[in-house]
Amino acid sequence: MLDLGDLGRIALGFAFGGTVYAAVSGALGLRPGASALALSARNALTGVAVLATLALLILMAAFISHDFSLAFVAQNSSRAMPAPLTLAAVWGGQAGSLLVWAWILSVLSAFASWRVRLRAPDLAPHMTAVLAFLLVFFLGVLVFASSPFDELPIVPPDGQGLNPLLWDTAMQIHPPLLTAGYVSFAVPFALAVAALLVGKVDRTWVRTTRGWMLLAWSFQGAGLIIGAWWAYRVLGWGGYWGWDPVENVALVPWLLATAYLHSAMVQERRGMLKTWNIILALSAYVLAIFGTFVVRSGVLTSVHAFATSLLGPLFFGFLGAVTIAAVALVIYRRPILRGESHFESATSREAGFLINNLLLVSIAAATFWGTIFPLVSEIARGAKVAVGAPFYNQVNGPLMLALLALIGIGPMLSWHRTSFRRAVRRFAVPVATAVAVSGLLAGFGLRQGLPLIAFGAVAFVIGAVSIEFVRGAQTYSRHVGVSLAAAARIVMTTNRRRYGGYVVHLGMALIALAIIGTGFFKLEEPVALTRDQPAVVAGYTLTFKELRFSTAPDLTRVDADILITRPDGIIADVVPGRQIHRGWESQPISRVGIDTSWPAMTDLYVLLTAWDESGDSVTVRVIINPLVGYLWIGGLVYFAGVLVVAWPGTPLRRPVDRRRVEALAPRQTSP
Amino acid sequence: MKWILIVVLALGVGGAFTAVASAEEYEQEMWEIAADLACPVCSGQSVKDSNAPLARQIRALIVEKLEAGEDREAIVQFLVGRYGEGIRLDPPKSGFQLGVWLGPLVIIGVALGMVATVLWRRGRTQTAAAGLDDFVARVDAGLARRREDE
Repeated sequence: MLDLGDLGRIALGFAFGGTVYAAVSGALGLRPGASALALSARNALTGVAVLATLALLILMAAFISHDFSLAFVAQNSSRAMPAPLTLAAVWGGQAGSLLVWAWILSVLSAFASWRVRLRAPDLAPHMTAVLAFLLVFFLGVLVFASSPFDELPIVPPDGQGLNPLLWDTAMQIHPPLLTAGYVSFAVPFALAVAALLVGKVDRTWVRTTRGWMLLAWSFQGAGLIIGAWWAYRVLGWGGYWGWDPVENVALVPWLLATAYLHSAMVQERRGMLKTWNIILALSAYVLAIFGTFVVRSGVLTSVHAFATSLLGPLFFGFLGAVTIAAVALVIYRRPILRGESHFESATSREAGFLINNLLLVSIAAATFWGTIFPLVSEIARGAKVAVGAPFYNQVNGPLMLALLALIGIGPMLSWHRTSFRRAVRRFAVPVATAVAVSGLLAGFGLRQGLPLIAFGAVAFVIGAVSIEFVRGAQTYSRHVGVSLAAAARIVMTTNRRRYGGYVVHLGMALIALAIIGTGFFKLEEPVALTRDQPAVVAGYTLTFKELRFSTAPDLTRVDADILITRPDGIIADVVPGRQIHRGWESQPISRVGIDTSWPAMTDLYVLLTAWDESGDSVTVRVIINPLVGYLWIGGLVYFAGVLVVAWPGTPLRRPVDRRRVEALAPRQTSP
Repeated sequence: MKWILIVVLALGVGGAFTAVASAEEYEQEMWEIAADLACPVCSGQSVKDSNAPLARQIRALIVEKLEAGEDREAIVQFLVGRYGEGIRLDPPKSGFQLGVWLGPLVIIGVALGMVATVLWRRGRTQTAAAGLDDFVARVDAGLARRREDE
């Protein structure tokens, strides 16, 4: 009789076999006249995707049926856990996360192989072969080194359960989203390798890659935002981003992808920056693998943790092999990577993109360097050092501020060069907005220079983006003769790439607002509260009403009811608390009491730190997080922008421009 | 007798007030110091943000040392001696750790150099692959001129 463990192992084993076949036949199918083999490789990948899906479903079934004969299920779930959470436990541990990783990669590989064949038929077979090789590694690790289907010799009556910090809705979406992001960087990587192998780094390549990079970038971005949201609500330290190594390694590929999405436009339009784009596409994936390696191997906690599991050396070897192959290919193909034209002016749109890339890559490199520096130190002199938030704030802060300003400047520059007259006309309104906002804030008594500049920069960006929207709609309505509102809608839907991009920029400006607010104006104070005695903190009045103790079968909980009056007089309440889960007594979980005010989106963030058993007094830590809510709003706007850009359907139509092109073409081409 | 009692009480209350005031003062400074220290038993949290017993002990120790008149650098040095350099979240800009600060500077310097080279090379040679690019360029310029005229 086969149990779920056997079925899972069988599915994974066949998936691995299928991938090996796909890799071999895919590689052999690259020879001239062997396209039947290439086709077979593609079909094999579809089969692998089905088998990997099956393996994942089997693991989920094991979790739902509480099959504790599987070590992984016993380690990461318990009977007390509600069903949706049980499913989230699939990625609560290493082997399960790897299965999710391999599953997403297999589905993505099959899908990409099928889709790229239509878009870029020259590149598709090579890309398929590369993806199959990558998949061999991950499925191999699952089959031979870290399987979620390993069985225990004795079946325990109950599992150990999931770390209570992960008992949260965000934890049901954050890990798979981030994994999807990490994994999706494989397609741009495979396309870059394919283009180098074929020897055609042309517009087809850059366009096809752009679409897949957009996918990876939006998954990664959504994963990062939801991770921040989880940290803010659950971890209970009042912040959302700590420059923790795990966060850093997720941010770096996102930054490189952002750089690619911008520099790709320069190649599409002017045929320049080919080497650069190839390097960005390759390194985004290499660094995504590095991120996984860092998170999974424990190497950053200590070099010595590296060898405790086989996974460290395996990933390190894979990372090394992938990097060496990529570098060798780029060097070998240098001749075909030469640009087709040159930069004409430092005040052109393409120069703007160049500086955007400079800033993004510098932030990525500084973050990477800070993350690995403790490792460098430990290897070089045997002493552990820490690199924390102060370093990143001082190094990345100014770079990010410059980047923010560039979000406003870049889109207003013209291709080739921007005339002075035009620059003055375009920059007038955004600059005036920035000056007005900074002046107003200074008038209200804000005297710190850096926040004044930063708020000015946000105003500048919002002004610039709004002007771009208005200008686009105005031009269209004047030429075609429709109302401004109709023109705005048409312009939005026919040039979704551009205007979706602006929406993303708007999201970034809102996120910047939250970072400035919490970065410069965060307040923190421990407060002792006695029942019914109001206490005032930063304009908020807090009145502690009642302490409630409650017990459920698997947890004990204490909640403090606190009535608050906001500075503007509105009355609300927060209920900070603590809960202790059975089996996790050493890790009490904070239940944060958060009150968000509109429209300042400022949070009163209250943590219960101590209490009197009689219920007469409590000690709370009060944190005021100004503007923090704009982080979540900005995240939603970012995602809305991505949807505008990526929504399938309406092809890119430019009625006005096409007419002009036709009018111009005959005159200009016949000398 | 009564007078003595009042004086003693006043002194006591006054003393208590100064003690409270300075404790608050020290607390403020303590949080600032704690923000730049890594909690030795947590992953990725500072002594300020962590609720671990050790973090609380370190915070109490900092207040104690501040009260004893030690300055920030002396306290940090003491903690580095006890827990190792790994406790400093803010790497010193000297010795080996200067490297972590120099890294980004070198990167930005090299990147700036590359961008400058690319931008300066402009105009020296004319467009190699004319064809489409040239056409697109002229269309762009034409469009820009028209927009300018509007």
